Amino acid sequence: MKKIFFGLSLVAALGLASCIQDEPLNSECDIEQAMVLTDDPEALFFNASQAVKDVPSADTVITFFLRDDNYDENRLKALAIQFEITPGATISPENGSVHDFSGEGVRYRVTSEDGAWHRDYRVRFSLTPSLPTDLHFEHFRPEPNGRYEEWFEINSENETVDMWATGNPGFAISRSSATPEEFPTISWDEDRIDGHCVKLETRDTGPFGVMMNMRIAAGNLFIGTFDVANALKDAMAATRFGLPFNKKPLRFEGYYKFKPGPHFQNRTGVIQDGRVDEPDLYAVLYENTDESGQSFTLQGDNVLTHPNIVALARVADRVHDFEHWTRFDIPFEYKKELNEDLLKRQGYNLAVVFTSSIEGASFCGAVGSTLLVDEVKVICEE
Amino acid sequence: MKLRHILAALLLPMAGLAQAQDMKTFMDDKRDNREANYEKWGPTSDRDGLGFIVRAGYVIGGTSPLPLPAEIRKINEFSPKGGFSLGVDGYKYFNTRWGISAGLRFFMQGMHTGANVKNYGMSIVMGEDVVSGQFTGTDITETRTSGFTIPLMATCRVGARWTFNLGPYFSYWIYRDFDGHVFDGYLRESSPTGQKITIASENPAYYDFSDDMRRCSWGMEFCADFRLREHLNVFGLLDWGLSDVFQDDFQTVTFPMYPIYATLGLAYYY
Repeated sequence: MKKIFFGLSLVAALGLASCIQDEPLNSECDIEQAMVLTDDPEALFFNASQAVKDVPSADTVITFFLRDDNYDENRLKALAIQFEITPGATISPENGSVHDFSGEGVRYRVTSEDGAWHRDYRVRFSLTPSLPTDLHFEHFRPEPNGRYEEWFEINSENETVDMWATGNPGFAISRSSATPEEFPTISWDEDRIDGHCVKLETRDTGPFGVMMNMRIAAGNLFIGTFDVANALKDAMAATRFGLPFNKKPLRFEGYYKFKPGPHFQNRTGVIQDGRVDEPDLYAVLYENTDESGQSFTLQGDNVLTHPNIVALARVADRVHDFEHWTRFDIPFEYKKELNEDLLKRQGYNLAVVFTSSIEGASFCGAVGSTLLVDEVKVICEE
Repeated sequence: MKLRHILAALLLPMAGLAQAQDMKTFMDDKRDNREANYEKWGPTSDRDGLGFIVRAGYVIGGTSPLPLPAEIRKINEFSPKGGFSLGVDGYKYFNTRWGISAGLRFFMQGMHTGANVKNYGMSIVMGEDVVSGQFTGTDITETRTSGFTIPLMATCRVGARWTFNLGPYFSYWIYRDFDGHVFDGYLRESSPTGQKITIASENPAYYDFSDDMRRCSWGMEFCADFRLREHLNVFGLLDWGLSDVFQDDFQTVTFPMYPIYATLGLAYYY
C-alpha cells in the first residue's frame, strides 16, 4: 500500500514539476532609444526634440540630422549618447561615454542578457540631405535578404538619399514564399517612359492576411518611412509620410497608367459588385512639428486631411487606360501661407505618394489593380 | 497555477480517502482471510469472474506541450470545457487479484487557457508561407473534442476495496476543435535579433487548426476504483495521451501537444 501512495505522489510530483519553470534570461539586444547628452541641443538641431531618437527594431544605423545653418564639425568631437537598451543587455563602449562623432561615427555592440546574441550599431551625425525633385525610379537595389527592391535617389550633391518607402516589408511577412516579382511594388522596364518605371499592383496577402484581417496589399511607393514593426498593430500608423523639404513646391507632374482589378473587395474579403478600384497619386507639403514643438509625421489616416497640411496636389481625374500613358500636371493648392523662415529651418515635410488602390490603407481594393508611374517631377520655386 | 490545483484536487481526496477509511479495513484484510474479504466487496469467482462496470464521470484536463517549456511564464486562466464521460467496461478476472478489462466510452472534453509566453520559439505555416520566430506576449487557446474511447487494461485488485487498471486506450474523435489567438506582444522574426512585429490587443492574430487535428489517437489510461459500497464505485482515471493531437504532416505548431484528461465519477458494477 505504501508503494501505491508513493506511486500516486510521484504522479502528483510529475504534474507539479511540469508547471512553470524559472524565467529564461532575455535574449534580445536592441537599442530602443538614443539621446544626445548636450546642454544646448539648439546648437546642433533646429528642434530640441531631434536630440532624442526612437530606434526602429530593424535599424542598425542611427543618424542624427544636424541643422545646416551653423554647422561646425568641432561640436561633434566630444559628444556623449545615452542609450535605452533591452533590459539586462550590455553595451560597449559604455553607455553615455564621450566619443568623437565627426567622420563616420561610432560603432557600438549590444550583447543580450543571456550572452547568446549581439547586434552591432553605428551612430552618426549628418546634415539633412536635400531631397531630389526629379523622380525617375531608376535607382533601386535588393534589400539585404534579397526578397524585394528598395528605391533611392541621387541628389545634386551626389549623395544617395533613401527617401522612398513601400509596404513591401509588410507583404514579406505575410507571404514568405513570394518571389521578388510577386511583391506589390516592383521596378518594371517592359513598359515605361524612360529606363524603368515603378509598377504597383494590389496583391493577395494569402492565409496570413486573412488571419490578420489584412487581405490585400496595395502596391505603394511614397517619400517617408514604413514602420514594419507596427504594420500589423496599426497599419495606418505604419506608413509615415514625408521627409524634410526646404523648397516651395508649385506643380506635381508625371505619367501613369492604370487598370483596375476585376473584383473590388472590402476589408472582410466580401466582393463589392459594381465597385471599381481607383489609384491615388498625390504630393503634400506639411508642417513637421505639432503645437508643443514635437516632431510630427502624417500617416495613413490623416495624410490628406490633417490641419498641418500646407499644400496639396492630387490627381483628380484618374484615367483607366492601360494602353497609353496618361500625363498629369497638377498645381499645388495652398491652404496656408508658407513661412519662409520655417522652410529654411527644415520645418516642412514633403510627401509624394502613389498607390494602386485608393482605399488600400484600409485593406479594401481589387487584387490585380495595376498602376505604372514614371518620370515624376515636383516643380519648385527657384 | 490552476493545473496545480486541479492535480491536487484530483489526487489528494483519493489519497485521503484511502488513508482515512480504507487503512483500517486494509489492515483487517491482512489479518483476516483475504479471500473472504474480497468476496464480500465484490466476488471475483462469480460468473467465472466476468462482469460489467457502467461509468459516468466529469472530465477535466488540458492539451499541452510536455514538459511545459520555460518560455511559458504564466498561466493566466484555465478552465475545463464541457467535460463528461459515459461508458461501460467489461472485465474478466483470472484469479482473485488479476484480470483484464475493455470498455467503450463516449466523452466530451476540452479546455480554455490563456498563457503569457516569453521568447517562445514558434513557427506558423500556412500553405507555402511561414512566419517563424520568437513570440513574447499572450496566447489564448480553446480546444474541444468528443468521440469514443476504447481502453484495454490489465486489472489488479490491490485490496478488497481498491482496484487499479492500467493499459493503453484508443480514441476516435468525432468532433474536434482547436483555435485561439495571440495578442499583446510581439514576434521577433527568425531570431531574437530579427525584425520585431508587434501584435496588439486591438488586432490579434487568430488561428484555427481544427481541421488539422487527428481523428484517431492513443495513450495510456490509469484508473483507480474504490468500492464505496456493494455495486457502487467511486473512480478516478487519467487518460495520458501519447499521440500529438495534430496530424503527422501538420507543421504549423512545431511542438507536439498531448491531451491529458482526468475523469472523476461514479461506477456501478455487477
